[in-house]
Amino acid sequence: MKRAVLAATALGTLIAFLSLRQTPTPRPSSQAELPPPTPNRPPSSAAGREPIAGHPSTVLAAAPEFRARQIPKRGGPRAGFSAQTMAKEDLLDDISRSKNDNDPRLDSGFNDLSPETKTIFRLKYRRLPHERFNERGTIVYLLGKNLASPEDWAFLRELVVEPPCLSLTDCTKEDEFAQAREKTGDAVTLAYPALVALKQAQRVLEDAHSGGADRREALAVIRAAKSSRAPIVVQTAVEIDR
Amino acid sequence: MKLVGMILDDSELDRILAHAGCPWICPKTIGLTTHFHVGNLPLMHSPLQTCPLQPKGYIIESIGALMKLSILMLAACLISGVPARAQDVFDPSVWAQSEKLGKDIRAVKARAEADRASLTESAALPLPFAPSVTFEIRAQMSDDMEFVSAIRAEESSGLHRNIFGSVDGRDYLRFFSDRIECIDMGRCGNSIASVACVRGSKMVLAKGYSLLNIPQIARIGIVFHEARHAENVHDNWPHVLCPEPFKDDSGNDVRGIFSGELMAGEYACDTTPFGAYGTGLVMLKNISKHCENCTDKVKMDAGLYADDHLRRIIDPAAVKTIQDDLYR
Repeated sequence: MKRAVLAATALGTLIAFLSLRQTPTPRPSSQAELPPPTPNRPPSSAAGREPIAGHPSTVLAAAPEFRARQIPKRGGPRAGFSAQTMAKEDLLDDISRSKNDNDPRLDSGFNDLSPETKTIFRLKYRRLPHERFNERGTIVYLLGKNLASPEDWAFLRELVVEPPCLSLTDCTKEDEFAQAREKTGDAVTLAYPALVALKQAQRVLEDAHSGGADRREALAVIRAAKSSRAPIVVQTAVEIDR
Repeated sequence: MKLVGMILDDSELDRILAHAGCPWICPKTIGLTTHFHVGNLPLMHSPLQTCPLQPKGYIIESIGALMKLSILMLAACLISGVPARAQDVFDPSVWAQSEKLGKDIRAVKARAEADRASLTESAALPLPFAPSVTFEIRAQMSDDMEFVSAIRAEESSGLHRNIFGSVDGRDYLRFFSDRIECIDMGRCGNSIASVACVRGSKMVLAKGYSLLNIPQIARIGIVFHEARHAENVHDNWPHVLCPEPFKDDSGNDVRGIFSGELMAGEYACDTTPFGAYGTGLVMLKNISKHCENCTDKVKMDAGLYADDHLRRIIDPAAVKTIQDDLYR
């Protein structure tokens, strides 16, 4: 009973933490010790480039999840989580806001993530609107660099069989331009997180230093992807399997 | 004609410039320095004809707009020198404002030239945005092209050297600026998901360019794909009909990913490595393989989108050329 109460308390704290920390308000990075982003501008220069609320075509900005995000206050209470986890999440938010995929901190700032940080990142992934393709894919990419536990691999297997996203602006609805988008490479974008998961599994398979257990896990991800309902995921899995 | 009045607020100026459209700053020139030939509306042949720039005419929506435009035009003339007698026909306040604006522009130009001269490593491109392009899209594309401008690599494939030159930001920007004289905003089809298209040498960006949350290299790939379509000498590298039937390597029909529509019979394929899909593929795959200052994520993304482009090249000889160049 006591354990159940503790578990419930921990879960409640986690949910409260995430609800406070769901994305973005421009603020300086707390990662002063990390190199600045290049060659693009530092993330702080991206301030003010969030979609304009109320603009008729700002479909994503109008999503309920987007509106509901709260601005976390610096120094506010984040009880129960390590400073490292909070710093990593701050860093991730900073990079996401910048839309700069060439921020070198993606290479250097997320190595050896702790189990706690990975748990937070997985929850963060699940809470993001599916239409935040790059943000979700970036989380998968970072988790894919830190594959260590069965939970890490299970998460990748879960990703590759996610229900297909039906359109770039609303994954739940296919729009009248679905066919037109097929001509422009959007299939990759629509299945982006799953494809990133596959690429990370492929990286393990191609790494001569990967152990047998990791290889088996990676192959399991590839196998799972073959049952995806997204043809491009299946096709990519088949190509990797070759 | 003697001009009197005061400068309007910036929002009205923006509206006027947006209405006037691309010619105000295109091609090539950003700011107020040249090319004040708007449409075919010679509504006023003013004393500004004494200006060496010879403005041809402009759209006048209000007397206030006329004054504002006159100030801008005169400022432009002042940059390259306007005959002194022109001063006589302007209201002193208009003259003073124009003169100040002209000085400001000269100073900005001088700084820009100095900056350009010092930019040996990162050949930043002053993008020729039309006034109607929103701040969000300007900022996003400027950031994206800034990233492109900094790309460096020692190696490049043969196809890449043929199309772009080196895997080097300066070559990419040269490729882009040689083809695109103006970047405007508009619709590319009716979908927010269509983020870019070209009309002649004008590239049109849709709102989705900055709104959609897609990988950065995907946005860049789209822009360079479209730039290839701006080549008149090659009939704009048109796409060809995908064959019927259009099968993948496993012998299955290639269908729209979620629409389920067959791709067969759609203008969604190329038969040459040098078309728009091939150009995007060659750029992305080279970045994926050779970029020395790209993050691993950028290189992974570039590979993902490049591989997708390869599926759209349907001529076996073209596929073999690409595979020999990039996939061996």
